[in-house]
Amino acid sequence: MSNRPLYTRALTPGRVLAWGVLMLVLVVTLLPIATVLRTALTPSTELYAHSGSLLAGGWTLDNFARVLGLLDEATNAALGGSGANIDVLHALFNSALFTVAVVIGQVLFSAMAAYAFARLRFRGSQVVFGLFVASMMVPGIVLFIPNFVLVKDIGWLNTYAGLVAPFLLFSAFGIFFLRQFFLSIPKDLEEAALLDGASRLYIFFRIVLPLSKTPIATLSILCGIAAWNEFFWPFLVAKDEDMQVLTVALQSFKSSTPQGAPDWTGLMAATFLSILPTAALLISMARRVVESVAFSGGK
Amino acid sequence: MSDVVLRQVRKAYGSIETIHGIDLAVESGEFVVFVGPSGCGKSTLLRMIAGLEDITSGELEIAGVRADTLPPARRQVAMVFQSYALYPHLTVFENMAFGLTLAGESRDVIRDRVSRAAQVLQLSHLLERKPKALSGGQRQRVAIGRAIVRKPAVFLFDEPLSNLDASLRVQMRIEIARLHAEMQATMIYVTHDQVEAMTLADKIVVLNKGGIEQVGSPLDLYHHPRNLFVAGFIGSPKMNFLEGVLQGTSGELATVTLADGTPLQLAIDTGSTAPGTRVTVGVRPEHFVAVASGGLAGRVLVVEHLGDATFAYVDVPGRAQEELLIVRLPANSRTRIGDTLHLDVPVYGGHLFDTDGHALRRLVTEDTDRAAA
Repeated sequence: MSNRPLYTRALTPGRVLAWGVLMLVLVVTLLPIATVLRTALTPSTELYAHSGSLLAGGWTLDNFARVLGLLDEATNAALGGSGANIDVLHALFNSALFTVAVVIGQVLFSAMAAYAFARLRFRGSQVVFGLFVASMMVPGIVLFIPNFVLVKDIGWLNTYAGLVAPFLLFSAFGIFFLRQFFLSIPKDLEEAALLDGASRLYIFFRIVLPLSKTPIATLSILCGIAAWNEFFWPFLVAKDEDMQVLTVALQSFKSSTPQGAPDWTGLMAATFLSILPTAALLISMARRVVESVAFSGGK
Repeated sequence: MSDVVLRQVRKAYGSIETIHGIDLAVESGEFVVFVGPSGCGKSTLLRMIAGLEDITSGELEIAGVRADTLPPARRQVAMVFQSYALYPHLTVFENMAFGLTLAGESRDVIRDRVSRAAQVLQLSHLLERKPKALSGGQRQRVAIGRAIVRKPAVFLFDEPLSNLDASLRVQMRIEIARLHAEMQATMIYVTHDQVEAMTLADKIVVLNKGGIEQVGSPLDLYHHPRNLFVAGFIGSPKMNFLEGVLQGTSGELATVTLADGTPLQLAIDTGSTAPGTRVTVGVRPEHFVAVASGGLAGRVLVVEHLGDATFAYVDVPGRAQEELLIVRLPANSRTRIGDTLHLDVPVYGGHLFDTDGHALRRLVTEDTDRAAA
């Protein structure tokens, strides 16, 4: 019998090629982030001086200070700012509020609907569930116009309610995703609880949800990332400066050029700040995030 | 007094009826076992008593109260599931206390009842563990403990030992029997394992195709099966069936000629069954007697030595290969594969079934049956 191990770490051409491709993908992925960071750390006055270099000519945290509103306008202008203002802290707060509300709403209501579809027998449940699943085929952008008209008619433009309304109750993917998991929970557990005198709601909150920590965490991560990066809807309904989420605020900051050109260093500093929460999430829960994305079949 | 009464209980899924008008009374303190092949409706019937399945028509009474309209929690029943159904995120204590907490019992009462049940079931040292840290037997004991603490009028067991290995199953079976003897509680137990049924039950209910075939004590069912189904289902190894023709009756003895021409005399009251009627003779493996010559002759194809007995599988001419006769021989039997066995059936050793499969009355008591064996 051969002693050759089934798995070897020998440097084969295939392995070299695989590593080469991986390195290339890594560089392509990280280069934009490095460029953002480099630009954010470069003094505005030296931005174009070393444009061909990967490293900045000098280093400063002034751009972060400026976009965080820690400097007065005169100092801001002296440091080369465009004169446009961005209240990163407030936009961060709005983004965080939007994301937390959407995650809590979507996960909670999706879980309740998914449980109903998985366990409750009611007339037409299969048809309704089929419609929910079919709605995943409809591009989100198609819904924006009717949603916008509705939100406008209700008078919710530039309100937190209008901002979160279309996302709060409806997530066909969330319902589908959690229903599949709920179906795998043994019915005996719920029947034992029924015999013990538990109501359906009690069973849902005390038995089903605690047993579904993993899929709920997965769904929360996916919803959270999507909400944090959401641009188009907040851009439509929450344009007022004090209602802007970070993605919209960055767009506004880029577009407002009182001195003729965008404030690239400030923009990149704010952009880098906007990346930090998702980066922190990725680093702290890397494995879970990768599994979530893989499991969901998302990109 | 009856703790559970079923009157014409039916279950239908759309136009398909799966339980056909069951009438049954379970007396207080009785251990009743529902037994039958897969798909016979025994678990469905248990779940209907528990309230986990609706009763399409008929009445259910539990502890003197009409129960078929009550939700499961108000039926005064507790159920032990085949899968244990322990909440994996709760400790053993929390699992056992779950129902009491929901019922709004005080902490002292909960602690008292859980620790008493844990003591009885030898679980006291495991109360802080989660179910995943327990063995199969311990999990099943927790599931039983969860039922005990609620002090229900009726305990329901749905194949509780099926997930355990053979030795643990025997041990748990003894524990359940001991528990029943100690508590004198009314228990309804579903199983497809007839050894469990025979060893645990005060009363066995044999179910088949959604109906009751026979209700009786284990020995009653063993010695006096009402029909071919019960005769074939109760007893392990199962009863042997031989085709024959009733020749006539003389006194207490009926004469039957088997398909191969062998005459048999059996102590059976043939009633109005006329001579010449085709009948089925049933003989339990232990009722065959090996003789030197004559009788039913057949070639031994398989021999199983079990230590306390030897089973020979005998090919009798004129019978299909898969319908080998099973014969119990003494433990020290020297019978070998290929030998020819001559088998006789004592007059008290046989059963007779008419063309419809109904048993003709055996003129035999348990004592005479034992003597025949």
